Amino acid sequence: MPLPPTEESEISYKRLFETSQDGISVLDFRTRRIVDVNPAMCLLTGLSRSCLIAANPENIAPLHALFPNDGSFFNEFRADPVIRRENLSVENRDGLHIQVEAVCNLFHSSGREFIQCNLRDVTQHRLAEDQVRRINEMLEQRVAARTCELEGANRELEAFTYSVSHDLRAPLRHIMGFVEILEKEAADDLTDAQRRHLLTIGGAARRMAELIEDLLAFSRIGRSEVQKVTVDMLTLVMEALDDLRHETKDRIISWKIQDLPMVTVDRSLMRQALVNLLSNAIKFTSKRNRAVIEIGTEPGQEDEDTIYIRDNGVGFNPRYAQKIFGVFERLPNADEFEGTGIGLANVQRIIRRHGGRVWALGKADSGATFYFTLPRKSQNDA
Amino acid sequence: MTPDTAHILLAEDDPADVELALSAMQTLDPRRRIEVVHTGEDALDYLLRRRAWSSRGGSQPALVMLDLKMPGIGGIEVLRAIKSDARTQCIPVLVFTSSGERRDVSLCYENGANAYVVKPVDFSRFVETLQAIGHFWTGLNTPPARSLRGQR
Repeated sequence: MPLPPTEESEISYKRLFETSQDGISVLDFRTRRIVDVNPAMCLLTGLSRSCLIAANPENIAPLHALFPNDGSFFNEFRADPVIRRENLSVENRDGLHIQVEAVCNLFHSSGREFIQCNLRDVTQHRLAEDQVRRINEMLEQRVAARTCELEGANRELEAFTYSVSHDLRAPLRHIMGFVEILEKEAADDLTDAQRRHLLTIGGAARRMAELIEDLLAFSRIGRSEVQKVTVDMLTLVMEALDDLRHETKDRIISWKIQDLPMVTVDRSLMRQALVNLLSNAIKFTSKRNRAVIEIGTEPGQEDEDTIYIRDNGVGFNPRYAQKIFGVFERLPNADEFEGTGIGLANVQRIIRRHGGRVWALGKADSGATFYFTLPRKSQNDA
Repeated sequence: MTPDTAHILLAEDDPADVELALSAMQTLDPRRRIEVVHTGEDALDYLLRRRAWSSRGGSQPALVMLDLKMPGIGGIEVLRAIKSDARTQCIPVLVFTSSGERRDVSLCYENGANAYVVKPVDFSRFVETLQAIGHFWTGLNTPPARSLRGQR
């Protein structure tokens, strides 16, 4: 036969009371004495139930922590029947400092008022929290220290690249210069083989010079601040083509340049990205009878411009579409074309520093299209 | 004192660079006179007619081409000295260096450089560049006849 509801709830309450991990004491509001405690309260106070019943809670550690000397504790219930206390640091019966939390509430039973105080020892919990916080702080410090080390190493590496690149330029200039002078002045006295050797020296020096220029650019992109100005993309393209006049002077290229937008970019970085993209297009169309290079825009997202450079050159296997932007990555079919393998990595670095994306579409032997996006100048930008 | 419009002072410590520069510039106009000094001290002595150049003739060069990396007094210090001395401050100074770094470029202009040209590594570009420099600074450009403040 089921128990009547009141009896059942009584039993449930009793079970909770007896087994709770919180120390629970029930105080008579009028007499301000303890009328009931649970086993956890006995453990917390170190006193037996019989010692605690009828005791003044203000004399029982750690319960006493709830009671300010002015007796205001009981008055507080007139304003709010529930009182919470957190981070109470109290001395327990052994004189040890512990951390407790309390929730006390006023209730009525048989026409009398009682206060139930649930007291929880959160010392271990707080210790664990402290430890977690300390460990986190330590980890943060370590991460900061490591980041600092890495930044330092990065700076050193860049300074190294910078100085190596600079100091290598002068001897290369001398090699190339004197080889050329020798070719001119001694050409008639040289055998074909000797002339070929001179050409080889010159070619090797030129390749090394390109490598150094690209490395220097790579290191510069990482170090320099992006200083944005608003400029016509067409102007930048024209400047880039001017830089490339040596590469185009003996070529017949049909240029198709569409209307290009105004862009907000770092002028010299962007010009460099364009030089790299355009020099690729020029290079990889060199075996075409009729080279066509197209520069235009494609409709894209509202807040950005999408610009492409398309050529009808040797193209590439679409499998390598991502790989080609890696440093020192060269296309398998690119050996017959001069290149350092840094140009596209530089392009990607530059575009990313502008908050844009870069990708390529291509097919083997049927041209390549390189796309990049540039965020439009927002209203908030100065 | 009229400036010698075909007269350039080249301050460059690297003998190979000097030879390449002379070879590049003298092929285009034999009348062009290029004086070479190998240190910053010599560049200043030349311009201020001190020591070895105390009895140098009257004219100042139409252009000083200045390398940045020189032993002793570096290019920047030479530039500062030229631009802070009333006797030399009007002489155009072109910085001719391997460095294309923004901070070097800015530093030179901040110190009064009139032009900044990066030495091309490729020889044909090197020749082209020097010809263009020669053509502009000793052909098209009109330097001041005298330094007004220096003549007071």
